[in-house]
Amino acid sequence: MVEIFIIPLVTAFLLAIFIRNKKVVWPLFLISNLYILLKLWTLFGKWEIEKTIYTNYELFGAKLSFTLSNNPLGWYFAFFSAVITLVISVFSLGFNQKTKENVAPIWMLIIFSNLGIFFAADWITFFMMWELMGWTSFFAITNGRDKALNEAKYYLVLSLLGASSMLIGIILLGALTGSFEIFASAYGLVQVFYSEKALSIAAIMLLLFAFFIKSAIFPFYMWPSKVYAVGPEDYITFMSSVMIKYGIYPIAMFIVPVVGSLDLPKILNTANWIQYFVGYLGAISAVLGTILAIFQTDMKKLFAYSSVANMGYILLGFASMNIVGFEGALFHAVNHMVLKAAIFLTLAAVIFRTGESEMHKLGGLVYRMPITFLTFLLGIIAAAGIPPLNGFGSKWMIIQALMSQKMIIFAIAMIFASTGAFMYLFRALASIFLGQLPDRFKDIKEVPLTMLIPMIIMMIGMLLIGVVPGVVMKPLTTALRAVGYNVNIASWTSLEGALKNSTIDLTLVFLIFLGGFVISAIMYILGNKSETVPQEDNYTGGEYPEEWGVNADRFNYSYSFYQPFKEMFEPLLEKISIDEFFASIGRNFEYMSATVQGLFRRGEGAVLLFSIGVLLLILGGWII
Amino acid sequence: MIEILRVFLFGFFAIFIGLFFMGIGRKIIARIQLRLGPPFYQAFLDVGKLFSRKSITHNFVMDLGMVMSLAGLVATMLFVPIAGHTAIKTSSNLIVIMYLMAIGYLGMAMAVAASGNPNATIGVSRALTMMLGYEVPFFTVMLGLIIINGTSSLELIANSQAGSILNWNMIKFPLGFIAAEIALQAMMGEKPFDAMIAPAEIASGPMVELSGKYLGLAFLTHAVSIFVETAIIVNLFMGGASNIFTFVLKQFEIYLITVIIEAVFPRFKIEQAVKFLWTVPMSIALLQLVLIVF
Repeated sequence: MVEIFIIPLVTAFLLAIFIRNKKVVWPLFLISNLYILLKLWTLFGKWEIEKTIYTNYELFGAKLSFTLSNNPLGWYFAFFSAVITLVISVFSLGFNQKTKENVAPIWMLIIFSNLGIFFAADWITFFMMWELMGWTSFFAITNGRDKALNEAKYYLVLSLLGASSMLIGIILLGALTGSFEIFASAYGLVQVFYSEKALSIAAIMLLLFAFFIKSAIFPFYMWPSKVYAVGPEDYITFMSSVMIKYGIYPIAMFIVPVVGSLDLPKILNTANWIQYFVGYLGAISAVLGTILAIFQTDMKKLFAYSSVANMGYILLGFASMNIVGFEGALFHAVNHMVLKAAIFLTLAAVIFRTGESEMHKLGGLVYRMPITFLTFLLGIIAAAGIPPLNGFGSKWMIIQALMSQKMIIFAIAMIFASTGAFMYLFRALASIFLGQLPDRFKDIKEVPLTMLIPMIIMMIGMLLIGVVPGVVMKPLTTALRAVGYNVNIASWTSLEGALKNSTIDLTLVFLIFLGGFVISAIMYILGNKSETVPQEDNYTGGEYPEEWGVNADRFNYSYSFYQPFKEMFEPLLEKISIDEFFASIGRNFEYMSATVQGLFRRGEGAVLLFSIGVLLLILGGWII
Repeated sequence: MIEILRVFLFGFFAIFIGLFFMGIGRKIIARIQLRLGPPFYQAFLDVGKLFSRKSITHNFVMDLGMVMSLAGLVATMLFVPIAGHTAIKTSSNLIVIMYLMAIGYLGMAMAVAASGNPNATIGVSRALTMMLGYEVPFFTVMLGLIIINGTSSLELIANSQAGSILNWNMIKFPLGFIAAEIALQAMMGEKPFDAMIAPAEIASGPMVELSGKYLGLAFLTHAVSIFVETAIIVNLFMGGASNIFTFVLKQFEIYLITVIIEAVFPRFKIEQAVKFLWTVPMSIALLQLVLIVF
């Protein structure tokens, strides 16, 4: 258990020493990730492993201690994020041949905090790891480049805001329940909820606030689009697939069990107000994320908003408070990890070869990068939630849960978002890979082998989870049973729905699709031969423009792809701009801090005073 | 082995019925417009001709996409119960059906976008916008039926209406039926919701670059989609059927309504169409949903 924490720390240190030497850094990074994955593999089922460091501090009558334990849900998240991390680190081998900066040591620290968040058994450790992840990702995003500074600052400020709210929430929780252990405090909170209603709700809300910030739920949906647009592409892949789940895990771990065991009054006989609160935020994220994604021109921003929408689905699954919805949400967390990693790897590959991330400046790349195209195609089919691939099963479970709970608004919002997903996903496919190849990209080649292998692995992964969902559902249900939920161990091939007679066999769906494909292919083969002609042959009617002394004009329909649709939504979107709202808060804050700053012109004094205070606090802790 | 045979049988049956409907549809439109019209088997002749002609393609994505589009629709068709029978024993889940249909449309969109013709891509962008327009009201109607029956299995919903005609959801939930009919019009891409084809504007949109067997495959895809969409409506609202002839007859009634509307209406602009779909059918569907749930 302890090894998986020591290894990343030691590796981070080594990486920092060899930072100039790329030939050492990235292989070392890969080996370390491989080790973590293998170690996590052996930890499956050994849920009793625990490691505690005791301190002399005491707060609210509870001894402060740092505990790491192999809890089943944490293992589930940690294991699949380790798989994704390993695949990305193979990709990084090839991707970082040309880059000057080196993100590896910081990234390794984030992997360390990643494991820490998933295995923390008490809030103190959880908070420490959360904070470590917050400031290290600031450095990883900037990666030594000035142009990324503003976006990274935005992220950092949001992180700090979340962390402070979380700290208050944790202290409140400790004061209410007298314990900092996650499970014990959840149990305690349920006990004291009815006597200390306002404070308990405040604690839940403060924690939710922090988790929502990290998972880019509605009022904080802006950071992915800003950060993904500027960060180093391979790290961004990690961020979009793994790091955005940090808010999801504690909600599944703490909030859902607590709210689920409370007996709150129900609205319209369907659900209580906390469910509706969480659900509405999820629904708004899903719908708004989708609409905004439709209008983006930068491909990384497009998929950033798609992540926001997907986090919305997961939240909707939690809001249903139904075991199918809960399983679906956790399943979707892993599915989203896999498919987003696949998509961002292909985007990184495109940027690696072309250096361009504006979609309308690309086009026709399928003729130069066929395997990247295929990965992207499977990725968007998965992201759209179309059956033979992996996004479908989990979305289906969430929708089933919402329908069985009669949450009609949420179900409609979810359908809106997943149909809208076809729009932006296809737009990305058409603009980047289809259409005509611009002249300046005539000579680009497919990416090198080290970058192709991870993409092929991701393709196999998406198809495997899509056809045999048991690959993920079996560990998930085992983990849920170990935590104490009353669930059946899932079968390899089929998924259980929440409604009557709604078991679907995804392997059968795949086989039926294959059957359809065979029929279709027979028709294709029966037809007469076809001849491949160049694309210029289309709207010049077979004439060669060069013969008249003009160049073959290339035009793709890809800029403002959904213009009529955009015009419909423009008035709405102008009204709700969270960024404007934040900016106005920022201006007020700036004004206030300038005033405060006037009082403390001599900064050194304040720093000294602060340090003495901290020192006194530490000494005080030891003496008491 | 018998399953494989059934898959083929059902697949080709759907293609046959779809083409048959298309031919009759053309004849009816012609009669409404006081023309003689082609013979009712014209669609078969068209497909035969298209498959026997030489064709041009621009790249492998076009071939793959066209095959994928028919494959997706045929696969969807295999999930839809026809007079209580499905090709393979499944729970005929409505959500699976709705999403499987999308893979066909995605394949078609990919193929035509790969042709590099801007008209085709404009057509696809309109088609996807339209899809967002009709899926939302259609799903709202379905949601009501799913909630009241407590199941998302199309077969169970069809069976629940057995007995007399008064048990049909069409009679019990007339508002939902009207909303679904309007959404169906858009789903089939018939007027007034045919902005994605719009021959006079964007030269038939997605079809502009297709020739020979590619156009033939597109024809077959359209035929199967007619079959699937009418079959869903028949199962949802008209109680399925006890034998295959009644089932096809009911399907034809549904198709007849869309064809008659198609024959007399002009075309909406795409944003008008989406606005219309989100206001009129959506509010009818929501009203029905509220009546069902509360």
